Amino acid sequence: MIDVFERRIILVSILVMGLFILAIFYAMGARKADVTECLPYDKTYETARVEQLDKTTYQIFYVARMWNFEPSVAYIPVGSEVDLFVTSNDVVHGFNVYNKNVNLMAVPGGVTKTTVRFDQPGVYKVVCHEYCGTGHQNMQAEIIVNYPKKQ
Amino acid sequence: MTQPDNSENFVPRGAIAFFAFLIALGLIIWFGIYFLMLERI
Amino acid sequence: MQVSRFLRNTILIELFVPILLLTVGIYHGLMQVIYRAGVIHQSSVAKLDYYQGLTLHGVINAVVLTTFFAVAFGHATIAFYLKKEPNKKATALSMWLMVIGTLLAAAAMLAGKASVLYTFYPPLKAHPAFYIGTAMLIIGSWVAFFDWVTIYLKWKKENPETNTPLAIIGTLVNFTIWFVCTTAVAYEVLVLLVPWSLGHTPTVNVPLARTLFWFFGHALVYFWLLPSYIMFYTMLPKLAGGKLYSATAGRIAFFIFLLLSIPIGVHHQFGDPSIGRGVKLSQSLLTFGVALPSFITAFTLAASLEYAARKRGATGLYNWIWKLPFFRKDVFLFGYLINGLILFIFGGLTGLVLASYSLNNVVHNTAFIPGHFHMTVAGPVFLAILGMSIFLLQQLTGKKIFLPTINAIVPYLWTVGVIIFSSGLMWGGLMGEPRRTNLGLTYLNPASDQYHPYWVISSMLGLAGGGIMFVAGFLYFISFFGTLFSKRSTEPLLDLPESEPLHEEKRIPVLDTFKPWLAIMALIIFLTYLPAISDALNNTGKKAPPYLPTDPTPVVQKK
Repeated sequence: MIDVFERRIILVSILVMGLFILAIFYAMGARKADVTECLPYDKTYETARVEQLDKTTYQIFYVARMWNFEPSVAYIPVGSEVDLFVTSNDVVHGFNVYNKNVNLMAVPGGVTKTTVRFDQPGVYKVVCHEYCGTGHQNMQAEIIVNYPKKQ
Repeated sequence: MTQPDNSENFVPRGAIAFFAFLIALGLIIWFGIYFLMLERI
Repeated sequence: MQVSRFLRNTILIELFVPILLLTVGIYHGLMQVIYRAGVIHQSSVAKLDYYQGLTLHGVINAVVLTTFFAVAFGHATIAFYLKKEPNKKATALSMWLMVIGTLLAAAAMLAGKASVLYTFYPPLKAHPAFYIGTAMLIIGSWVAFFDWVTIYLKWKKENPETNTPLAIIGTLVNFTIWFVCTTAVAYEVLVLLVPWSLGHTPTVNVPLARTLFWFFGHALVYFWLLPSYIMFYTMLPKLAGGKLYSATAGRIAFFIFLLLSIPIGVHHQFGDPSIGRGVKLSQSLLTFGVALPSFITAFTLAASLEYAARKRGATGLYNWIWKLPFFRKDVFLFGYLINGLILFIFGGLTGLVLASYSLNNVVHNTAFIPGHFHMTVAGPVFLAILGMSIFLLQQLTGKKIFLPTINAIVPYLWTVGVIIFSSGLMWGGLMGEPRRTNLGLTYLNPASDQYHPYWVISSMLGLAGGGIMFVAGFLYFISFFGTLFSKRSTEPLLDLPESEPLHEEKRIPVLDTFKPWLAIMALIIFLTYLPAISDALNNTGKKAPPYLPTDPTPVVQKK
């Protein structure tokens, strides 16, 4: 019914995409590369804060609003694992950490969460990458991963 | 192999070569970004 | 064939209106790259704000131009292949709804009352005229579609054993996708947003609105793409001087699009809250399914072109490519279509990256995204629209193309521009350069403390490519409007290039009917979107009041 070469092309395409899917599952299982966790929303996410759970585990609760992030600067020691929670107080904002796989949307009424490790000291810029009004291009924050510790 | 006037015997060798190139390019682009992601974890 | 004066004029108006507006769209495209590269450090030029210009650029180029063209091309295809002209009343009603809707939306945008970008994410609020105008444009396109369905059913009754022409399958598949996906955005706009922007309802569920938008938003890209696919399958082999390698492959491709164009929209929301990981992963996997018809198409077209080249005496594994009719004034449409395909190689493959679940985290919402979609929507889609518009213009007016050499090189120049532009944007995106941002005010302003020197070279590449694209667009306008205002030299006619199949192909009944496909389509959409919408309803904690883009405090409702 269908040309023999067409059939082989379909088979090869399916195999290649199967390889992509396997690689995605490997990254998810072995390296914990995943999309944002889906959490039900509650009021506590509206309070911006940094919390230390133990020596190397931190949680930062970000609140985005027109046109800044709170906390605008967060200090984290080198080698810590940080849970980032992001929500918005007004319109939709974006949340991108430079050179990391952190790319979240800050949406009013919802909260996004991801976990990231900071092994290298430095200033990690956070940029809003969703249009949020006339001040959008001013909206940024910093995560300062410092060594030695300073809080 | 190529007999231009006889469509029944036409074997799309060039198109197969192109498709191989397309798949190779796809693998390079996709795994390029994939390993960049693993590096940024 | 001859077409009535009425149909001719309708098609011409539906080509003229969007191309006239496109001058505004392309101007703002150029301004975009100038602001972004930090050449100017200001929020507006000629009283038009950056974000206002970005809204005009997106709405005109991606919604108005594509919808008008799909309807105009649909009229031509239906009339040409089924030898029946569409109903006069329905066609006129459809055209007027689209024209008036577009004018309403354009007025709101130009007045600066709708700077919310073409995705109009609430709770940013636009003037109601913007929402109503866009809805009218969409409903106008439905009217044309309903009329084509009645024509098709009548034709099928008269010709039950004749294989429906591939172009007709493509057109009907495309508008079925369009009708189904736009019901969600029509609901979002008319039920959620219009009463809210008028102040009748105080708040809106933002994750729900976003989910409804993306139910429409990804199918939209196939609505842009399928007219090009129709041209690739039914015209490109003929233009190249060959035959279509496999028409059955084309039918299979169109029906896979019908099944899978819609239930993958959540892959635009990988970074969104409220929607579960299972929903995101399953829609990511389905997106691989919808890549399949494009792989099939790539091979089928390559084989058809290779056949054409071999007929011209080409030999060798690669060298046959140079026997194709590049840069030929008489088959200029070939140049438009082949350049679109070249861009689509890169546009399609980068799209596969974006749809790949966690990989999206690397580049989500960065400049990589416009880098990617300028190689799809500003590649095969846009070039096919430009090429076919001037092709139909010349036939339906009976005029000669003005400056045919210029017209023949436009697609090549455009393609060079897009490749440079997209390379810059994608590179910048990998370094975190945000999309939709007036970079020149802060990140690329050496006087600002937010100055970010990493993005200088990438945004300069964007400027260089964007400049070349602008020149190509400008040359096209000269050719298009020059043709329009020249003197008639022959009788008007409609004569679309028609590729014959290479092999004798039997009619396969299941590939010549819509019913089973529509049933499977409905089932897949139901299974994928029921959990997505229920997640958006259940995990969302509060609704949002409207905001103007200029003001961090919500709009006070007068009551």
